[in-house]
Amino acid sequence: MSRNQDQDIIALLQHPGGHKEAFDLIVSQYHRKIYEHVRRMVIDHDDAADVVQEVFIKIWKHLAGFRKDAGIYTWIYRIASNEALNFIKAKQRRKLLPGRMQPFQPTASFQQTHEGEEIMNKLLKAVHSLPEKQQLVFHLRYFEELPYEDISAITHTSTGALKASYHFAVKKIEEIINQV
Amino acid sequence: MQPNSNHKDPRISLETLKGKLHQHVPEGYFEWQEKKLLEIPARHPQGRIRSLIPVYALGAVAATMALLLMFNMILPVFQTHSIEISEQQALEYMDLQYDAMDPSLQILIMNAYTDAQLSLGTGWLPDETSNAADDNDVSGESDEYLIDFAEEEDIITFL
Repeated sequence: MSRNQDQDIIALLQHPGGHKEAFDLIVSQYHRKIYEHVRRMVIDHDDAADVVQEVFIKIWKHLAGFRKDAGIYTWIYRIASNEALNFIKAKQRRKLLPGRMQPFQPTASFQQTHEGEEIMNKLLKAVHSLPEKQQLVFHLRYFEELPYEDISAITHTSTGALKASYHFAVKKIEEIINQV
Repeated sequence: MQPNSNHKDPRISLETLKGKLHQHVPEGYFEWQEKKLLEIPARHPQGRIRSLIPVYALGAVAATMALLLMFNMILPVFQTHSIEISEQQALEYMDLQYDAMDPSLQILIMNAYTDAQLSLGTGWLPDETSNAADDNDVSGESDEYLIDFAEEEDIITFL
């Protein structure tokens, strides 16, 4: 992601009339990234599409309240991560499964013959066995390759705790993958 | 060369998986999604008034409300006298409330009031103390009533 474009977005937000333009820039800059991030968390394409829509509605509604000193992409990722986690929790409640997430069940759209998708399937199954917060840390670090400082800003967790959480997540996932 | 039977598959590491990962996305989805997301400002107007009010102003209002609420909760603890409302004031207030009501509701209330009057008997006032003497009086009245009717029945039977 381009930090220069983030600066442009922030500059546009300084003017009350620039919000629409700033939002358009956010959409073109982040919609793919946010979709991929959300999709890996909620798995199903249709669910991801709904969550992404909600994420961008939230971004638009709260754009005026965005603190100019905060990083725009950490702010967007925080909204997206919270929205995805809330969606997962709501889905759990609907299925009356208290506590842990329901074991991952590949959907019809997910059962692809493509090798890459099979590996992804296996990996996401392993990721979903982790606690929610650890899943989020893993997604942000492994897939998004965000630095710990940024993950810390998104999750409001210390970098030390994040490093430990990621380390345990990787060990556990590798264990599961190698068992299958 | 014979393959080594003791050979085990190397452990899969997440780093080696990274380049192989793929998720299926319907073709043309991202273009459609971008178009749809760009429509959000037109469909969801931003809270313009809210955006004009600074956050600290909202905070100040919330703090004032909280203080008022706390004051209202604490005040009765220190209040040593009760608020006196004259009977005349109370009746005037009730009349006003009654006049403001829907006519059908007025009829209902009037009926309920009349029923209550009939069942309690007229002339009963809440500050009148009920005592055993009164109860005896009432039972005396009912005895008289029974005697009256008994007499009447006797007369009918007799006739």
